[in-house]
Amino acid sequence: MNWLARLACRAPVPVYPAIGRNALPQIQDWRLDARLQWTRSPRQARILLVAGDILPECRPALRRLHDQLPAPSITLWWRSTPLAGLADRAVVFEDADELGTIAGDACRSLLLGDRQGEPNLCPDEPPAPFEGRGDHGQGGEGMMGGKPYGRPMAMTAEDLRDGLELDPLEFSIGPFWPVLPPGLAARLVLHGDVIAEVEITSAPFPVDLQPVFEQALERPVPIADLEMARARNHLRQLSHSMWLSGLESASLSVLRQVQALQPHDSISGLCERLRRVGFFFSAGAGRGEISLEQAERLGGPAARAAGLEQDARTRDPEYRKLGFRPVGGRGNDCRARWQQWLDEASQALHLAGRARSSGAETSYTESVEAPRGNVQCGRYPADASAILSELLPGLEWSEAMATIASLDLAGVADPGEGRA
Amino acid sequence: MEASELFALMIISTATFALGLVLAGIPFSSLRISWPQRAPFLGGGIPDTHAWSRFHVRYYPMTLLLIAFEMEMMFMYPWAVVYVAEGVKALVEMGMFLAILSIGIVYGWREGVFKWQ
Amino acid sequence: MDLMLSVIAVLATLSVGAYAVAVIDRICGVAMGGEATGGAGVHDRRNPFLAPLSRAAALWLAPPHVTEAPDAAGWRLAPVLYLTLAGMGLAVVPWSETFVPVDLATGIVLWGALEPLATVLIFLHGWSPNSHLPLLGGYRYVAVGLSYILVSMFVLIAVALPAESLQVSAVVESQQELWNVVRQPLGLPLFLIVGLGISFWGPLDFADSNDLAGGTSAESSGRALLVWQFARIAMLVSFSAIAASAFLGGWMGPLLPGPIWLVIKMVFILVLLLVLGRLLPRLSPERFMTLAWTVLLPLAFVDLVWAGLEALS
Repeated sequence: MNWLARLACRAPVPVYPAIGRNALPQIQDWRLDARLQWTRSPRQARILLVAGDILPECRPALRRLHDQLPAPSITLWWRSTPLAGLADRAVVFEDADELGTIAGDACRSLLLGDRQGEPNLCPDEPPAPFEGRGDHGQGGEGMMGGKPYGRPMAMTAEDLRDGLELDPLEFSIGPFWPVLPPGLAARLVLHGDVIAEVEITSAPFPVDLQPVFEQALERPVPIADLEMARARNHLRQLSHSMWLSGLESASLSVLRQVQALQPHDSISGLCERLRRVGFFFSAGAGRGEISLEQAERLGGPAARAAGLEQDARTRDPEYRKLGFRPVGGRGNDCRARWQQWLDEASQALHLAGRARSSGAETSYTESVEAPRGNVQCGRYPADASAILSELLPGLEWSEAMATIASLDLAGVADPGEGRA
Repeated sequence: MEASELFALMIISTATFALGLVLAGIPFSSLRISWPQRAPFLGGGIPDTHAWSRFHVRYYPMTLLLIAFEMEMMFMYPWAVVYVAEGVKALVEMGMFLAILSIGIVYGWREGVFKWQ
Repeated sequence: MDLMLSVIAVLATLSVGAYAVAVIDRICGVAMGGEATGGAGVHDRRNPFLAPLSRAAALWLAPPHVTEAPDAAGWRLAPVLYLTLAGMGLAVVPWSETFVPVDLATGIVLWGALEPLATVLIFLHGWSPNSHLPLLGGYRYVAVGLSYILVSMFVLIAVALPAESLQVSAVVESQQELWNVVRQPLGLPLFLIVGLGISFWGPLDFADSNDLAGGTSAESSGRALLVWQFARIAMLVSFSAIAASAFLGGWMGPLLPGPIWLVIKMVFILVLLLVLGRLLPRLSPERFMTLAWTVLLPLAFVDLVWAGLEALS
């Protein structure tokens, strides 16, 4: 069997990411590494990668997730403190480029049997005691009672659209699912695959403002740097939406483009390609409409797409000299927000090209238009995940996931309060 | 003749089934897998109930329309074999049948059968 | 013995075909710029011929997984039965004028039966783990599965009209003067959509999609996952064989022997399907269902009437 293990060592290492604070851009860059295979579910992974700081209230969920990887498995920690039960033999690393090697070594040691996996962090007992109870020892009582095999069966409730009394599916979807923003946990009630109720139990982890935007609040910075950071951010968000709707190859090529982005680059090829394959009709397009009040709370590109003219760059005479006009007003659904990202990214690249050649710097430091929204000294965009409770009910699952991905919900952390 | 073909089909499907079983392996005892590992994957979240439930199948009205078309398909199999021999009469008959069923599709569309109910 | 040769031919085609599909998919991916190619020391990971084998070996050695209270028989058997359906579908395809593994007089009807059975098995694969995300994947797929079935039936009946028979070998021989892709131009594009549906590939991947953490495969691991992926690709191979036979003239062609022509045409269909799979995004299931019933089905009617008029003249 040794030849089989050695053949398996040459395959990309299956890794499942548990994304913490400020780790999402690096995770996206790691997707371009051919030595790693990012699985969609922990069952297919051998390595759990915990990237970025995990807030204490999410640690129980991380323990549950850790145990869900099939034993034996190994956990790698990047810029985060290992959990209490694993601290003695935890593999911690700092340099992002080392992940391929470290993960490869860990997987090889598991395959060849050199290393045992990690122990479980949760007690090995069923979710509720059921052995020996009920008619057949499975824990159920009568027709619909008890907890057969540890969990109750679903009970009926009225459906929100047509009043049929069927069983809703109720579960909480956790903080460590890459489809959702990192740290977002919600309790969902589904009728069929349409969402009926959403209750946010854990807000997305706050994101740190990029250094160039922080500096822009204190002193003039080159406009080219600001606009390149903005373009990169919007393209990363777009690549996540593309991955969700099934355009995996295109999403990877966008990430590759982001890494090599230069001022005066053109993304019109990308826009044309997306239009031709029908990305603007994929799941979520035309749904996920936000009201003006919700757009006001969100700020940033989503508000501009919905028609609100909020852009701090209009108050800066240097931008006006470069010919800046705020774009927006396409609509309040997902398709409008995707289009807004593309429009703003191409405008940002154009501005960056002109600013790089003329050496322009910002002259207005009262407020800065960060990719997330308007930032002022002491006033940072707050977390906006509460709008999901009004926005998602009535949407089908794929539309709901696309809507969440088209919004930028995480709040921006105040640097004064200590950074990760 | 046909019986020997069906016998060959049965042998081929049994052989493919056996190949699949060999690749899949003998089912293991579920007692070796720990309970925390067996919990359903929800990104770290917790389910309230088992997944098995009386699921609201949102496309149920579409399936009723499908049954009508399935019956038409049953009619079309022998129709296809004798079509050339029968000539234009067969085409006209099938055209009428399809037209009547198409009215059913248009009615269903107007009634919202293709929306996620 | 003829039966022995048939069994070996079907099994070998499924296995070698699955490997070939994996290789071609990787080559298409690299050509379209959508494969991870970075990182140091990856020269052998970029080898497209070794990658499917090493991934299969990694899956073979991966630890198995079981959920709390699954339908164990259904979960284990669904991938195996799906593979069996692929084998049955491949068995009715003629390789040459004289060699057909199973020369069934109702081959077209067999394909009509395979499609709903595939839908049942994909649903079973989502139902059995007793977990929420696979359940959603299974139920969501059935809407798509039931929508493409009718399109497939009308397209296949249209192909059977000039042959005056439901036998696949007769369908191939009826394309002596002109291939069906030219005679019935709407047929092959519609049938490609059916192919994407029956193996839930690319834009029709509602069962195992990214926004459901892998859908019906979210709880699968190790060898069970290997057989499911193998069965899915084998179904693609099988479908390409029947599409090549029904529309591209099967084994017919000058100079080269029959089986070689069939393989060339199968590779052509496979490349089309793999490129479409990478290129097109997934619609919402509601939108796809509406599209299938209001646009694709009327086009299939038109195709049938066209084929009927063509067969009479």
